[in-house]
Amino acid sequence: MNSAFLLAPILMALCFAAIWYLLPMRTRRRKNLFLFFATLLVSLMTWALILWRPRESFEIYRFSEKLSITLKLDGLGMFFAGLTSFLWPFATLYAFEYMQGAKHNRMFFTFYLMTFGVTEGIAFAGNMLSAFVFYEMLTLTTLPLVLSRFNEDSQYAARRYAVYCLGGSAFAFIGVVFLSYYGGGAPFVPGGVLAGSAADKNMMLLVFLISFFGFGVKAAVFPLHGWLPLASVAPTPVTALLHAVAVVKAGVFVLMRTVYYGFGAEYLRGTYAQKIALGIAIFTTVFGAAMALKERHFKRRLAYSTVSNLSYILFGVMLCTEAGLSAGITHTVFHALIKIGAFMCAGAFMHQTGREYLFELDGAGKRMPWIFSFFTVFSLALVGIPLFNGFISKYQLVMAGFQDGTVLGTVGVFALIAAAFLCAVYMFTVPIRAFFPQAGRDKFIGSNVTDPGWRMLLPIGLFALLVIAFGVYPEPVLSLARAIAAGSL
Amino acid sequence: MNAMIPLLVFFPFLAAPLSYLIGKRSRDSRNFFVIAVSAVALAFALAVWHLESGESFETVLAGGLSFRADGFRGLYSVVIALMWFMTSLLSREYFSEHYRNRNRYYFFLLLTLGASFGVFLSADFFTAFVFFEILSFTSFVWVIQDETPGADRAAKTYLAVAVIGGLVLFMGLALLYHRFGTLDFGELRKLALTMTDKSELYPAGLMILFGFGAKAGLFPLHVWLPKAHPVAPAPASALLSGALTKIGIYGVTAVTVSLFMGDRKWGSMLFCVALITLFLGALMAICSNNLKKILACSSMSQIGFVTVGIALSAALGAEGDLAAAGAVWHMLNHSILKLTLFMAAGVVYMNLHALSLNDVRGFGRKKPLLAMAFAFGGLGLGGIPLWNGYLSKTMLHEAITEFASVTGSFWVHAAEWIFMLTGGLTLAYMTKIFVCLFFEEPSELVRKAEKRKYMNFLSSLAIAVSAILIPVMGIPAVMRYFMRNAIIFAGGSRTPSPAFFSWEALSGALITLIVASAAYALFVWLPRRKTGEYRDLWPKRLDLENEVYRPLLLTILPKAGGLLARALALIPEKLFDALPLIFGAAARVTSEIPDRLFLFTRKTALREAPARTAFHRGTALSETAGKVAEKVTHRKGLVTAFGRVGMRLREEFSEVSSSFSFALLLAALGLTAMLVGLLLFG
Repeated sequence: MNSAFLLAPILMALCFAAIWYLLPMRTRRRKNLFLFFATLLVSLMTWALILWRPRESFEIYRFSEKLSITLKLDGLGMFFAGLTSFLWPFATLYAFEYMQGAKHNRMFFTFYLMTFGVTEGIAFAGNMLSAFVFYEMLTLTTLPLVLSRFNEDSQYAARRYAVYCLGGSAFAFIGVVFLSYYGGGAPFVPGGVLAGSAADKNMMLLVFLISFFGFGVKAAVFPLHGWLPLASVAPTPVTALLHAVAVVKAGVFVLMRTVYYGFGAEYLRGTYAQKIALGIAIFTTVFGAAMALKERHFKRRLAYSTVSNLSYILFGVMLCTEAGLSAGITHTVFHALIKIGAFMCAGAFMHQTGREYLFELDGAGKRMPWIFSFFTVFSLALVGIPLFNGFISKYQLVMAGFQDGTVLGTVGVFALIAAAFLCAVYMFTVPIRAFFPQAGRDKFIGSNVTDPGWRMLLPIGLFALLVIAFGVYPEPVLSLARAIAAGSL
Repeated sequence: MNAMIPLLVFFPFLAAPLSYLIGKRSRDSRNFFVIAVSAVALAFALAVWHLESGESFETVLAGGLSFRADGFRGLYSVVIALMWFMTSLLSREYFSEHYRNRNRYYFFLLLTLGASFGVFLSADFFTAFVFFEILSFTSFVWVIQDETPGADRAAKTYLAVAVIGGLVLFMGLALLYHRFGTLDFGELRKLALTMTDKSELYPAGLMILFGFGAKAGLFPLHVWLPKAHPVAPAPASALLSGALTKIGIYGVTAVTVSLFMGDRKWGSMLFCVALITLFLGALMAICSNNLKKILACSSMSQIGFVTVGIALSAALGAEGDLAAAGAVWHMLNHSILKLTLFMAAGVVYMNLHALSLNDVRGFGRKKPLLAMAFAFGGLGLGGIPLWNGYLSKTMLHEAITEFASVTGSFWVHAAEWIFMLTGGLTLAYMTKIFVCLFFEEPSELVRKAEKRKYMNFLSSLAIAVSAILIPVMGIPAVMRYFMRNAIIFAGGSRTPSPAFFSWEALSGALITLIVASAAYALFVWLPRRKTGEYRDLWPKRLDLENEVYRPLLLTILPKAGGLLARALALIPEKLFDALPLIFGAAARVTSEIPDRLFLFTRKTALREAPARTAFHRGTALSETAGKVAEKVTHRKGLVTAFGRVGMRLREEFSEVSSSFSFALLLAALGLTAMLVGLLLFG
């Protein structure tokens, strides 16, 4: 396919957003149809690009000899684009039922569509500057989504989200500038652009650390994780898709780009900067899990769990080895499937019962058997029980940690196991309370509570099925991740 | 037939949802369906045992699954299938009265069956681990099945132990894989044999031992066992005790045999653990007054016996045939014994809905089948000649003597005495049960519950067949037939045939009898001499779970961790609040810099010139001009006014002339003049 088509999904999403905003549709049926086909078309376009991949890059605008906005689709980009565009239509389907009767739907879906385009932009970006531009746009388009309830809580959450993300990208920009200057415009090439460059190594390592924390805001590394649990005031489709997949994984994705395609894994490996970043990631895994355990709010607990799991990925990424990157990619995919499903279950529970705290769960499993059966699958997977996909990716991460051979790698493995134990405690509480209520407490859930409709159940069920399918037969994802990490895709 | 093993493992997984669906329609067809499934599984298992094939699947589950059905593995699959078959026969009647969620029970029963096959047929640690984890979670549902507060608590403990054990096990396996690049039992054994110093394997080995030992109920991870087994429904207790603990033992054996054959240190360590477990279990059993709890503690104790065999097999290396054979045969014996005993206890519970010895006493009167089950069980566990326990305990005893003669250590002799003492205790607590059920006067509850028929045909069949197996397994020839090459798995090479009925061997049984009478007098007869009540003699405070593990894991660690997490979480919070202040302050400081600089220069370099002498009357010019103006306007005071204006002008001019800008202005003027000059004359 011609490389100019790389623009298509981005522009399509933006156009659909404009149409949706400017041409109000009357019936709900028509609205739903439009939204669903809009996301589906963008998705299909993305998948078409992945299947018939344009090999050349496409330059949108050139500022100077070194600086340009360029699109290019390589292996890592394909993986991120494929993942997000696969999940988006299902999340939209879920959103129909969830957002029924909510206010400000017009604004909500406008930005929801725009975010889709921007996310694909991040995936397609061909150099550091373009990735940064789309990354900034992602902050701006998702900000109204966090705000979409317009109450005090969401205002506070949105303000904090803005401060963290915009502040973070200011730091990240330093990295972008240095990479672009010393790396000849920093096009994404496996192995990085700094090999043999004239830049002072110590200065570049400092710059790397600064940009690690800058991009790390979206990847929710400690101490910059604060916005993520707060942002779970947003409607569930947003928390599920954006705060478990698109936004946070964009942070991780851009970090993968920075480490493996910008600075270069070889360049960083063994330096103090790598050790600090790795240490922070290791710490965050346990920290996030511990905070999740303390949390009593259903969605916030899952959000803290995301904090922990994002750092699992970062642990793999920051090992700066091929095995580490491929394990990180695998966990990105698998965690996305698990967490979007888990959030959707939580959302379904909140939507059907109007409750949002864990101590209100007793006996809910008997009224909503499907939702909580699915949730059981997701919790088993998140803990890392064999036959479920979480086990596969954690296994890869542990092996990568041992293979690394350094002290930090081994410490990281211990941290992963500790976090997995905490994860078992905070995740299993939910199905145990739901299915085996303590005596006398199971009357709290009214008998009128039922499972939600097919629009909610279908995506969740599909994700649960995929979680098991990839748990039993993970080879497609594993071989893909290995190929991407080796740079042969 | 290569498809045989996967068929055996995965067919219960497929049957499970089917049973659930059938159960929605009709309960009784579901019950018979489950019986049929276990019967088919038994037939498959027999076939697999005879075929001794192997099979692996490379691409599933990242690590690949591989199965083998040689000797021990095949044999134990048969035992597992048999146990499932027997308990499903009993389950039909056991669950028939006021029981909820039976569908759930059967669903997880079949899942666990498949997973158990998976573990016992595994040819590498990875496969064993995968099915081990599945089984931990599916059997959790058995424990919590009754949903009583006790079951709830026990089930959570069970789950916690399973999760922690599973994760530690996983880590140990990862470490092992990292070291050797393979997890296959056979290959590991070959690789480990080439190593002279095994100490670098200890971390991985201990982690694996922790994981499997937790499931087996080895000290100090036994805490869940005496609590979980009694609260589960009786058929499930029989399986938990007879099958699932053996899965732990399977792993303990696998790690010991594949990594530490001939390693004296590892063997001695495991031997100590085993001794503590077997003695503690027996002591707890004889102190208890609850029928199923006695049996559960007894399981723990018997697991200790099996582990003794495994430990000695490793410690003695090539001379460990007796120990290995004793371990394998005792495993088998214990499975069948506990199957029979727990099913018999289930019949008691089914009729009385009570388990305390005070409530169930006298229930067994005029019930010969029940009496046979308990008697055979007691004789087998106690190690009385002609019953199966005698063979295995004799072999284990001889292995200990051998170890004692090899090391010549006093401690091993002491261990031998603990071993004998525990054998006596075992017989004593079984006698306690038997006397209570069959010789005591019937209790109030028993008299009320008396029915003409206390169990149906299927249940009697299950109990009778299991009970008859016990003496049959006590015949040495039968043992040799079944063992065949099963002993290889436990580290031996050839089934030994010691003189079972020599005087030395029989004297062991005699000592057991003497100790048993003494223990019975001390622990049973003495405490109930006055009241006739069976009391729980175990001190309440002596509970590792309630006094150590729960406070540590539920209070101390979370408190400490919570405080730390809170403190750390405050950092970004405070940072968020403090950042505007910090930046504001920074901005203020920087913006003040020029102001301050200006003031500073005003005070130093650009200071005003000191004031001249004051012009009180002004200059001559202002005076003249003032006088003229006074004359013209006919007004007074203009002289001073003019003088003041003039003075101010002078002052201002002096200020301007002394300022930096004026200097610059002059310089600029000079430059301009120069430029003009150059342009004009250059």
